[in-house]
Amino acid sequence: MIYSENIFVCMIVPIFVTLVFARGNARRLEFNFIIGMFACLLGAYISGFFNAVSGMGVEDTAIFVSPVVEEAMKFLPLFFYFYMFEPDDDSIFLAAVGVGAGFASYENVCYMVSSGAESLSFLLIRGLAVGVMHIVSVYASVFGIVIARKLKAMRISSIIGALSLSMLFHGTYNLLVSAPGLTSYIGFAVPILTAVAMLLAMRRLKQA
Amino acid sequence: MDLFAVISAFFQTAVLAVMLFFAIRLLIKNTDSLTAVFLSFFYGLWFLSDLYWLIYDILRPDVRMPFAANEIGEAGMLLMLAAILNSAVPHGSGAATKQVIGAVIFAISNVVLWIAWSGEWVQDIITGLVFVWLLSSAVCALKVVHALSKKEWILFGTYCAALIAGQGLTFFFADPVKSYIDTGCYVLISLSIMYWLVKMIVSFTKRSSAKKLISLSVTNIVWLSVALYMSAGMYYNIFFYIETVCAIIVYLAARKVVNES
Repeated sequence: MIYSENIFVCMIVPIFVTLVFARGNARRLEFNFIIGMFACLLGAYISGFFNAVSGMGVEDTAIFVSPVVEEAMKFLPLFFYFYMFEPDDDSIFLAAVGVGAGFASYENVCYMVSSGAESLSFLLIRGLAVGVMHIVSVYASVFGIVIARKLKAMRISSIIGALSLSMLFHGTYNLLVSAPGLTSYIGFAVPILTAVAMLLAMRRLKQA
Repeated sequence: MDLFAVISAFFQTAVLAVMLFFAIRLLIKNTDSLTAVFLSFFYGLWFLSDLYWLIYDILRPDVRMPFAANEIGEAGMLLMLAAILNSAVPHGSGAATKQVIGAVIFAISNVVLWIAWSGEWVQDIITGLVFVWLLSSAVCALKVVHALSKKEWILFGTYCAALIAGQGLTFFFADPVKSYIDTGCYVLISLSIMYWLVKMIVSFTKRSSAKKLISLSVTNIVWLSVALYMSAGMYYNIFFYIETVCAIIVYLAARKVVNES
């Protein structure tokens, strides 16, 4: 067992202090970073609840249920931000990156505390893969909101489509890394390759 | 592990990866097209859903999959299919009242059968809600584009009732009567798939309107989903390959819609 709330408090205190000094986009990114960490903590509670209720076991819950819960937890604050403050596209994407990075960082720290931090190479691979995966998946779900606003029609379909896409992407990653050996390395490579493909597609979209 | 099923899934996943690439290319060329957006989401979800199933089957052969992200993905995929149809063939709320009522009854009957077969309430109800919406959208689109004559609608309604009754009866009889009814249902399903396929191919060869083509091709996918949920063994594998072909045809029809709009 790890004391995740204590880790959470220790991690957010310095970021809260810097919020006083930061301005503009830097402050927005930091604030969303904290939101992402908080979403991770809440997601862990909800997954734990599902584990207790369904009796699936910790490992199966982490593989099968957590992707759905975690993506929903990352999406909800961004959805709230989008509808309450009507930010421009750049601001919502920046917020998404902050939430994704905060979520991934907190998850990585908790993972290191519970599983040990002896192997730097493995932690680097895992840290990079998890970091990119959370950012890519939350970016994809925000993409749905932005499209819904741009096309001014069928908002629910766009949002649900993008959100379920991010849940499925996250679920595929979790499933791949759940088995040791080759599949886990394929799993670690998937988010990075997807990020590259997404960047290329976004660049083409901007040029079009 | 059923090797044939894995090969079929691998084949479909590969086809879907190519279709996803084409759909994204279509979106890049037509950034303001709602149909292109939904088409990309649809192929993305279908591809990932198949991939998820494939990985699961390889990693955990012969273990029934619990509730997982791919259930959400499948429901999302059906929703995107309805969104493609509604964006390509817009219609009013009262476009096909009788047909929608029939579609809702048929969809709910299907959901009841799924629950009876699998015992998975939550998943089947979530997917079922979307399925009701998709079937309603499909019949509205078919009505708006006049894809079926009045006689065909009556015949199709009677056929759906017969199919549900046949599937329901299998719960009340033991073998050998049950297997006769089962075979009868498979014959009915196969005939209906042939019917929809022929109708779609004829429409393509006659160069019908884009709206009619997308309505028929999406209906084919919907009907194959109905058939796949009701099938097992050899029939399942055959329907699965037909579905893969229809996945390509949906793209062709959607591309026509996007280019014409």
